[in-house]
Amino acid sequence: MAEIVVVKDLTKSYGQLVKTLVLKNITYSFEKGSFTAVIGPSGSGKSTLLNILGLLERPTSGQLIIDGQDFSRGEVNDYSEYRNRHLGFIFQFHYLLPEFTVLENVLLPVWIEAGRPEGAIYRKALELMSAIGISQLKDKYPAEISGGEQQRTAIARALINDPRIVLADEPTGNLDRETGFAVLEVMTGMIRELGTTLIMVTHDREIALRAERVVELVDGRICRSFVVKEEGVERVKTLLEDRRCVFSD
Amino acid sequence: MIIRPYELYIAFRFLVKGRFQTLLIFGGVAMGVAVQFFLNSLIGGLQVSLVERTVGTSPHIIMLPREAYPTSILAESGQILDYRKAPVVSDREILQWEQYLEWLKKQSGLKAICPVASGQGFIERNGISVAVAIKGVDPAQGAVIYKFNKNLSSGQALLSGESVIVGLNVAEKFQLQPGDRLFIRNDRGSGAFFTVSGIIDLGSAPANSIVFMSLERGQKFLSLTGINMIEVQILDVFKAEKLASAWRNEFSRVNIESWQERNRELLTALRSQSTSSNLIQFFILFSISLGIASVLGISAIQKSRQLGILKAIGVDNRGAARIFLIQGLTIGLSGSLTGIIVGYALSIFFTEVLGAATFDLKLEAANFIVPAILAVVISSLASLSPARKAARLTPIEVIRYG
Ligand SMILES: Nc1ncnc2c1ncn2[C@@H]1O[C@H](COP(=O)(O)OP(=O)(O)O)[C@@H](O)[C@H]1O
Ligand SMILES: [Mg+2]
Repeated sequence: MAEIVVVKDLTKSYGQLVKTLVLKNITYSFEKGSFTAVIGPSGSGKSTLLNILGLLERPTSGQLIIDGQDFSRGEVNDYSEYRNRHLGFIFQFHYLLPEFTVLENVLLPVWIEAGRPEGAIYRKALELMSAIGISQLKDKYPAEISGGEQQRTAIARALINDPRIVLADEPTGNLDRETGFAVLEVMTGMIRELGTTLIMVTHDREIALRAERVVELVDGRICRSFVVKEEGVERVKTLLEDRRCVFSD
Repeated sequence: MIIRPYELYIAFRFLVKGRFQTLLIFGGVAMGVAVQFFLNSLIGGLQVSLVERTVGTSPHIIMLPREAYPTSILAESGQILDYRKAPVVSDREILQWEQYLEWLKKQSGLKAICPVASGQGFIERNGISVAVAIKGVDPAQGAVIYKFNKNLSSGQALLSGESVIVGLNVAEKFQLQPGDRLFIRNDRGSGAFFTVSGIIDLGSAPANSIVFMSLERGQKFLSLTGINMIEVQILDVFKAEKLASAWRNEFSRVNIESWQERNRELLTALRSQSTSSNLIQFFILFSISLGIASVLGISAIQKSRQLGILKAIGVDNRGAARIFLIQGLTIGLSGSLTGIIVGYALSIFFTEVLGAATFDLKLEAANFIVPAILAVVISSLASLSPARKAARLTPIEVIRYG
């Protein structure tokens, strides 16, 4: 099994005087090309972990290795280029730029990387958008399209630069159930097809079932992790129902 | 500073989409530059016209015989020699005047150097006797200083032998026509007949009471062996005082006066005009910069969400800062350019359409270059603080808290 993201003894604390330990000695390896769901109750540190993996936030201590490269030190600003080239982000509140059309939003990462996109990239963007089902919206502005369409746009934007890893934080959390599942379907389908690694935070256990691996965080620790295929879907269901994941300290 | 294309792309998009705010600051800059350009041209034109009217057809610097200086009435022994001796004497003529003329001819920046025999005369005609100023001048140099050809209202500018050019006031008083003969008496009671060759209008009553004749004729008429004045016109009128004071250091035996000294009120008026115009311009600049700073500052706060996303997907701190610097610079440049055009149009409208000025506006590059450069600098400076804010913002602030 190839590992793409490795964290060792990773901790994160907030505050100078009164320190809140949000992540406590996280050690885990994310498998290349797989879909890992990070679940856990609200406030357990899922978003914090994801933001650290996405180089948007810095760990307080411990090791972070992405694709063999050590990211344990340095500033968030030092990794702008890496985020642009190799990471894709999809957030709960789809964060599109209202000043840009759907197509332009999708192309923004290309712009930032290389300047004006040439024809081939336009075609690629349009193909991606039609695969995701938003090519007819290309000239509309974010304010003119629905929440589901906005999130599809964010997915296309996350994928345009062929990232090594896509990080998604409750990408369907702001959508109604039906739309949410449709968006999820598109996203997981696309990412599987491209062979991209997907790490998704969700508190929806039903969504977690679609993942290949599940990591459950409770109170800043990994309380358990498993491979869905190995456990079998039925057992995973019962595992996910069991919410008693308690630490003794 | 290397500007990356995406910085321009995003900055321009922010400007275009923030229509109202953009127009607001753009308009502010354009208006500021236009008003300053117009004001500078107006005041510049006014000053040039005032100065031109005052000193255009008169010497800018004159050399006179030394002013009264004290003489000793004591003998070397300390005894009083002569009670009746005047305690001061003054030279009637410039001693060794050719030497000054030669020296002046070597100086640069001078337009005309005219030796003058100056004094008083009395015209008697039809029972009236009126005092006039007599100026015997070098015909060629005098023609430059007094612009004989331009200011001649009738006749021709001929100064030789008994031919004289008379000022308009004199001509009107005695109903003189070119070709007329007149008798001028000097202050010692003798006199001579002269022929009017031309009548000249120099724009002011004192100047129009002059009778010009040739230098030789003037010397003879005033019983001078040399001359008692050198009149100089220079290329840049505003340098007169500086030149005069330099010459004063050079020569102590003549008295040197610049037009500024002889026109104190005008000079004060010009100065206070410039001061008030500078003050107005300062406040214009001040309010524009406040406006730009606040509007760009607000826009930076409004755009922090966008900046957070942009930073998450790869814009670095410098890029984020430059997005705002570019906005400031763009507004400064385009606003200035528009301001120059509007200011020009305003000036043309003012003079051509309204016909509001009796003088030409001084439409020169310096009048808009300074305000335009200042506007660009100020716009850029005003965008520094939002740029710094943009650079400091971390993507996580936005992603976590919206
Ligand atoms: N900037 C911060 N300062 C202090 N505490 C924070 C900060 N960000 C997050 N936290 C705390 O960290 C904990 C984990 O937050 P988060 O990772 O968002 O949890 P989850 O995504 O699992 O709901 C929460 O208790 C939250 O209040
Ligand atoms: Mg969260």
